[in-house]
Amino acid sequence: MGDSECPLTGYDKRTLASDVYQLVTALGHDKFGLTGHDWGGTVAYYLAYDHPEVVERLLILESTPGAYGDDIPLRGIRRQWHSFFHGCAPDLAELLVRDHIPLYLDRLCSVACYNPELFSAEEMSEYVRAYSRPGSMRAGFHYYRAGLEEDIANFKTCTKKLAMPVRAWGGERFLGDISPMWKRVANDVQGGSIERCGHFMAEERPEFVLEQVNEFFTPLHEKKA
Amino acid sequence: MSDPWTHHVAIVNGFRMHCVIAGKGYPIVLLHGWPQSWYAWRKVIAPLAERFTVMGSLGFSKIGLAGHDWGAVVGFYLAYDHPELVERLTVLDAIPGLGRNGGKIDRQAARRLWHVLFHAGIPDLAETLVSTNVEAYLSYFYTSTAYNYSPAVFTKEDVAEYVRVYSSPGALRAGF
Repeated sequence: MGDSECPLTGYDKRTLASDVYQLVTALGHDKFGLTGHDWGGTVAYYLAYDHPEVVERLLILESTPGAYGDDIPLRGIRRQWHSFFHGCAPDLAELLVRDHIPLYLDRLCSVACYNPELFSAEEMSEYVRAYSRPGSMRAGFHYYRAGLEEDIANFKTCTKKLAMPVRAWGGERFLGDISPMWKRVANDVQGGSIERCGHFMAEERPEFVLEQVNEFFTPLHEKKA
Repeated sequence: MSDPWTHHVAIVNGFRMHCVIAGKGYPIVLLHGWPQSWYAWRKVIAPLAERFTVMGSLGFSKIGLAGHDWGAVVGFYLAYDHPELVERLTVLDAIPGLGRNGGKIDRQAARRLWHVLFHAGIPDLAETLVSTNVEAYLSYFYTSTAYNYSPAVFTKEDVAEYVRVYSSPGALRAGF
C-alpha cells in the first residue's frame, strides 16, 4: 500500500512482519524500538513475537494483536462492517469502491475521528492518491481477508507471551483501553485510553504520540549512546 | 401462453405496494426477500394457481403464508401480530431474528452476513457505492457459491429483471 508495490500474496500480518524485519535489518539496525498503529500494530506484534532479539520495546496505538476466532458480540459488530465487507468479498469491494475512492476514504476516516473535520481536503488527497494506485485498494482489502483467515490460524499458535516492555494506547472515541487485550499476549504492559481522541492517534493527538515515543524510547537511545 | 398472473398495486400504510395475483381458491401469500422481487416466485406461481389464490392480499380473513429471506422475517411478524389471519407459515432459508440468545454471533456465520453489515454500516454509503455497479453487485448474490448451490439457476434475463427493479429510484436504499 502507499508507495510500495502491491504483491499478489503475503497480507497475513506475520508475513508483513517479516517484510519489515528484512527492511530494518537491511538498513543495518540490529535492535530497535517499534511502533504500530491499526494493522501496523498487529504487524508489530508478529515482528516482536518472531524476532524478540531485535524489538526492544513495543508501542501500540489503536490496535489489537489478533482474534482467536471466537464468537463475536453483536453489540459493536456494526462498527466492524468494513472488516467483513473488505475481508469476505475483497474483489467485489474493490469493484464497488473503485469509482468512489475519495468519498469512501473520507467517510471511513471521518467516522472514526474524535473530530470528524480533522482531515483537511489536502490531507485526504494524499491518501486518495496513495490508494488510487493500481493494486493499492486490493492490497488493503487483503489485510482484512487475511485477518479473517491466516491471521486467526497464526494467532492461535502464538502461545508464548512477549517479554519486552509494551505500551498500548487506544482513543476514547474508538477502541478505548486496549491494554487488557495486550496483557493477554505480553507480560509487561502499560497504557490506557486517551481522551479527545479517535482512531487516528498520530494525527488527532500528535503531541501525545510525540511525548510517548520520546519517553518510552529515550532510555534505549541513552543505553546505546 | 400468457402469464397466469396479473399485476396490481394497492395503497398500504401510505405508499403504493405492488403485488401479483393468480388463480382461485384458498389464499396463500408469498413474500420474497433481498435482492429479489415477486419474480422470485415465477416458477411456482402457475402450478399453485391451479389450486390456490396466490399472493391475494385483498379481502381475505384466513391465509397461508410463505416467506423467503427477509420475506420470512416479515412473515414471522405478520403471523405473530395477526395469528387469527395466518393459518400456516412456511419459512425458506431465514431465521426470525438475531440477538435473543446471548447476543453473540459465530465468526463463520458473520462472514456469510458481511452484506448485512455493509448495508447497515455508514448511512447511504453502500447505496452510493453500489449505484454505479448495480448489475455486478446483485449478480454476486445470484452467482456466488457462498449463497447459491447452482449459479446456472439465474439466466441473463432473470438477472436483468432484478437489475431493472433495483435500479429504480430508492430501491437500493429501501433494500439496505
